[in-house]
Amino acid sequence: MQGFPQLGVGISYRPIWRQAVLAHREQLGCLEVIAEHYLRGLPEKYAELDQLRAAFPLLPHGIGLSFGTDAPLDAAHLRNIAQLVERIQPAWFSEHIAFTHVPGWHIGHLASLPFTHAAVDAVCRNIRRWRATVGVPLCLENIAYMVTLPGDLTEAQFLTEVVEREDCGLLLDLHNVYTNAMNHGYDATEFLAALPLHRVVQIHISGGHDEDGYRMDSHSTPTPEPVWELLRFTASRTSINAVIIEWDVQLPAFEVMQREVGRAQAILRGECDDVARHADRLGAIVH
Amino acid sequence: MTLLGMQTVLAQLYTDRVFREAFFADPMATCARSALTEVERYQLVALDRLQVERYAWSLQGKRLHLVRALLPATANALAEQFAPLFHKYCDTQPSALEYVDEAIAFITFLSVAGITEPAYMADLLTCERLRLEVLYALPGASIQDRGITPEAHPQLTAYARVAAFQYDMATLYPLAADGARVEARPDPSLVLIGKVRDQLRVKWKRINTTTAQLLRLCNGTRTVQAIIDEVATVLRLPAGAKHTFAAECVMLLQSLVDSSLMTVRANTSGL
Repeated sequence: MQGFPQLGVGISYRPIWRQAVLAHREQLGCLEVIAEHYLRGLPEKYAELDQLRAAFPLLPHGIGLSFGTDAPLDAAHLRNIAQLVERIQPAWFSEHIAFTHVPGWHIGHLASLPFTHAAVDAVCRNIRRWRATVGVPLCLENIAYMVTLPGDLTEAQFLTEVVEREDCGLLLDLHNVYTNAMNHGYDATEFLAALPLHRVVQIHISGGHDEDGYRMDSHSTPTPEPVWELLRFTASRTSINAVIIEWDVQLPAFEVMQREVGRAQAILRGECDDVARHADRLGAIVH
Repeated sequence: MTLLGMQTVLAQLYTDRVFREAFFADPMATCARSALTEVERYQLVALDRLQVERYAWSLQGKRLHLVRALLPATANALAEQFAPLFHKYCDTQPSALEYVDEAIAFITFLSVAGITEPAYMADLLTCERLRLEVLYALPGASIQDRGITPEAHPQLTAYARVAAFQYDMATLYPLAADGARVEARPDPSLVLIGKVRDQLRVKWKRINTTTAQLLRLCNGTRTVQAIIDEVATVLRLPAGAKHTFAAECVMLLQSLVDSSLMTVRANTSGL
């Protein structure tokens, strides 16, 4: 998307890889950090953040602001995020089109919104509250959802309405698209084609697992081939400012992340990634 | 009714097993207790129970994953019991907590759950709680790297705790956290638990009764001189030995100050 810097391919940072990312900084275009991991005021975490910031462009990614709650963003949480953003000075901040809590009750993770005009209005109100407090551009992410809620819009219409109305960037999570397509029976590329791809700033890719015939967005395995295909599809249709590899559970050796990064870089360069394909197969055997 | 009313019902459905069972047993009756429109009630009644149950289970799995990472020794000691106990805990705390608070709340739940194996489980839970408390303590405004003087008022910081155990937890806790299955006999011990300066790591140091007594008197209300005098009196030290004892105490307290485990205030003169 125009107006955003090109940051290349990076990973969602976890402390276990701290030495490795610093040792291989030339291979990573940027790092994503989970904003809520740095809000407790611990000096060690601030020191870590400052060290990473000196080496990489950092992209803070929020998981708890709950833009979709039909109530104002939590003032204390928003203030803490604003302070973190001030410290990092990132090119943009990202969050989810979802809700994680209602007043007095926390779900503990991202829950989907009904695809309705009322939900669009609720998200847009909170985007405006965000903008009144935080001075960096906002990108919002599509989530994987397990519960189908009644609504008068399609998912693509719903996402489009939010980002177009509020002039936001889109953080397109391709494993979420793949997971939703598998679980809710639609075609992932048709879904992507229905999105305003010119709004895409950042991409998330990751792997999940199958459980009782259901696709789980667990961020626990290498990116599967269909998600690489979705990255090729998206990259061939729009400019992507950053791609982030996510991995949350059973964290692998950093070499596995390097392979994922290398393959994403090849796709962004528009190269025929036979080499990356081969490396991936080899990696799967070694892993 | 607003979207918020529907989200409130959904949040409970996703996290509260008792509420969920009541809802699916009689959806309309449960919805009637919420201030929803008729359309919203019918929308909720139409929810797919399998989808909701699967999502609820995955949410507890995510909470479990976070808590397990914060309680390595408990997870290793309880092994396959850990997850079922966590799911029982979630029945008592359906609304998720911030992850460190959740881990501490789960410790509290386990401490009254009547777990008898391993025998040092109660001590292990205390260790886990103290570890989290010192690890995630915020730096106090009063922490200063001043020298220890007779007039100084020393006080343990939030980064340090002194605790009494029935077992040798300075040895057992690190082993349990590493996954070792350790048989242990009771061995009453006193332990200084301290956060390693500038690191998200805790050290465990078994200390003797005198050191524990000295540290427990360091609560910011007594001077170094008064603390040393009090402990020396309890030890019935001869006058000749007191000077050496005082020097050792000052060295210990100074090392704790240097490690950010002790702070001093009203430091008015040199030793």
